[in-house]
Amino acid sequence: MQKQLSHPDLSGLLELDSLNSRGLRPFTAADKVTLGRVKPQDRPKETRLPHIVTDNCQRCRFTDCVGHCPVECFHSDDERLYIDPDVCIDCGACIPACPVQAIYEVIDMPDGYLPWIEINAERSRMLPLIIAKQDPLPTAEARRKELDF
Amino acid sequence: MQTGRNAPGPLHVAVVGSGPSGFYAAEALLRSEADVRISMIERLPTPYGLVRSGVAPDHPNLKQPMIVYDRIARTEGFSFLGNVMIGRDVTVDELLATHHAVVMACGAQVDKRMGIPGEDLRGSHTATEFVGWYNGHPDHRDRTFDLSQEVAVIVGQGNVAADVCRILAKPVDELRQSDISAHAIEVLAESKIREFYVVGRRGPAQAKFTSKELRELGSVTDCVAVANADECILNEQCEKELAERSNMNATKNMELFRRFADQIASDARRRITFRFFASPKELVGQERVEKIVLTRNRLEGIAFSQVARPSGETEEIDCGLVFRSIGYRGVPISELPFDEDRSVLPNKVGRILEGDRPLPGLYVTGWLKRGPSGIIGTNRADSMETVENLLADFPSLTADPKPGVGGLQQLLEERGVRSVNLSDWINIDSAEVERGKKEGKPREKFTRIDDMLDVLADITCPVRV
Ligand SMILES: Cc1cc2nc3c(=O)[nH]c(=O)nc-3n(C[C@H](O)[C@H](O)[C@H](O)COP(=O)(O)OP(=O)(O)OC[C@H]3O[C@@H](n4cnc5c(N)ncnc54)[C@H](O)[C@@H]3O)c2cc1C
Ligand SMILES: NC(=O)c1ccc[n+]([C@@H]2O[C@H](COP(=O)([O-])OP(=O)(O)OC[C@H]3O[C@@H](n4cnc5c(N)ncnc54)[C@H](OP(=O)(O)O)[C@@H]3O)[C@@H](O)[C@H]2O)c1
Ligand code: SF4
Ligand code: SF4
Repeated sequence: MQKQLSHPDLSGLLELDSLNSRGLRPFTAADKVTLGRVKPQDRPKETRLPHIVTDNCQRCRFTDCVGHCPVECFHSDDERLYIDPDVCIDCGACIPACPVQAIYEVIDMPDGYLPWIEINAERSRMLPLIIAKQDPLPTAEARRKELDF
Repeated sequence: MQTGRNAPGPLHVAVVGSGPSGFYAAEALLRSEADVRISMIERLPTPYGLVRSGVAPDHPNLKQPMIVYDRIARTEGFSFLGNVMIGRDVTVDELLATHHAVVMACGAQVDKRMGIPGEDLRGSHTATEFVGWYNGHPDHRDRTFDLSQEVAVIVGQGNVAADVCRILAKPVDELRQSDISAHAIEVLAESKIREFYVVGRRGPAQAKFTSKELRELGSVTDCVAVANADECILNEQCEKELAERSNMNATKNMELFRRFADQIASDARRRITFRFFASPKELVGQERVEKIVLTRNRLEGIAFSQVARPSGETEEIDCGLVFRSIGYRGVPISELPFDEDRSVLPNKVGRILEGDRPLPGLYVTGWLKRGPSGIIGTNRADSMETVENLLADFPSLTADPKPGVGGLQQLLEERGVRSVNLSDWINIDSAEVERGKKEGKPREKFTRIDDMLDVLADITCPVRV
């Protein structure tokens, strides 16, 4: 079951403004298409196995994952993070970075996690981008203990 | 960071190396509130380090961080100076005289040696050379690989070994539309190799492949992956390692190795055999490598610190080619201290140390800071850490004004160094993309520095950025 989203608190997330003034725009799905100026359908075949943030990421937002992402995939609400599947390059760098093992490559996810693919895709599109590691939420340590990590 | 706000002038930072760690250091600096100017120095005319010259051509997705780096490079306050080598064209002292801080991000440029007899026989190669060669790195352009052999042994079980094996094992037609260099395609097309042995000194539970790469090695077209079931039997300490939740990758690898061990006969054209518990002892041959002698090992020690100890037995594999892929090493930089054991610049969270004392203004990041491990994204977190400490030193760094990139450019001009700036690189990049079009490739790289510079000489109307 998905919690209905109230307006998330964006303070602290949108450092973006200061970068935009210098011209450092975030990486978007549209950029990927232009890589090497070759149309995606003409590029060598590569299987896409998106990465998803799941259940364990809750009330913690340690955001270690974000610091390890080489492109800019993570979006956030008050509670957890979501990966934009169109931006993610499937490198796997965020998986070992997450202290509570919330991130899976789709092929390895536990049974019953299928809905998370759609949740990540949908949520990431509507929520703000987060680029740098944040201070964890005050509930983070408790959550880590609860999950026994 | 509030520090930057009332500072006298901009903070000039020289970043040496344009790989992931250099670019992420630049990103973190440009995102800070400090007024920062960056001079990024790169020994090649082309940026992006191992993202251009290491990441495998059949993994175009993993090259996409280049787009992020391109963004960073076009940001106000950033200057690129390619074709400039620290130690050859300018010294670290000269960088410090013109900049407030220097961030060393040179990566690990050379390979680790096995240190065994016969290592330099013909037919014995390093992964560094081979990868550099197929990826068009000018240092390795003129290497030759005789692929008319039937059996190749790859020593080491990390992701670089996986790349080397996959590029050799894949049908060449699956590579033609990638950015692999044309000279490599020609040679790979003639390859006679049918049999690969990928040899690890420890067990399957300690193999360093990420399971994604291992899975891919198991699904190469017209190629079968096999393992020896006996070698997949784990001791108690290995079981302990696998039981650890944070070691999920090893659990997934074990599943794959067991699946390979169950492989029934196959008529695939090529075969990859994973071998464990075997260290290279000697390469034997008259004119060239004819076989590799391996020492059989057993594991000793407790979970997560098990080491390979020779059991006294040896084993031989007849082979015409050996690729060692046992890790990279950083190169010492004159004027700076170097930790030979770890092959890094000694440092504390990024501040370069002489003994216990941080050297003012000198920082390090990436593979040269932590050693040659970690993937592209790992360097982002690493560079953020280094930059955080650099910015904490801000007040002491900015005491005197410095000329920054202008001062450095003047020095280079006096020395007749032809540095490559961002618009030059954009021209080289466009020329490569253009060259690739004919073959339907994303680009055909220039593999000689002179050819890159010739592009610039030919251009009458330079791109403005
Ligand atoms: C073969 C191979 C394949 C890889 N594939 C992947 C992959 O698919 N996915 C992934 O996530 N990671 C991959 N990695 C890991 C990734 O490439 C590294 O983590 C990363 O490149 C390290 O970044 P770096 O900036 O420290 O070093 P580098 O990328 O090596 O950059 C160092 C730069 O410094 C320059 N330089 C060196 N000395 C000097 C000097 N004296 N003066 C001026 N410039 C200098 C070099 O030319 C180079 O451009 C791979 C690594 C290798 C070796
Ligand atoms: N697609 C990707 O994501 C990708 C691709 C390429 C590289 N990379 C990354 O780049 C980094 C470097 O990769 P790498 O493959 O060079 O290093 P690595 O992962 O450290 O693997 C080195 C391998 O060599 C073995 N080895 C070391 N010394 C040896 C010796 N003296 N004799 C025999 N074997 C020896 C190691 O065994 P022990 O375990 O026993 O030491 C290990 O199996 C890694 O972090 C890797 O993940 C990633
Ligand atoms: S590190 Fe893990 S738990 Fe923390 S925010 Fe990222 S995905 Fe969520
Ligand atoms: S897999 Fe890589 S690109 Fe995708 S979210 Fe994780 S770190 Fe970012």
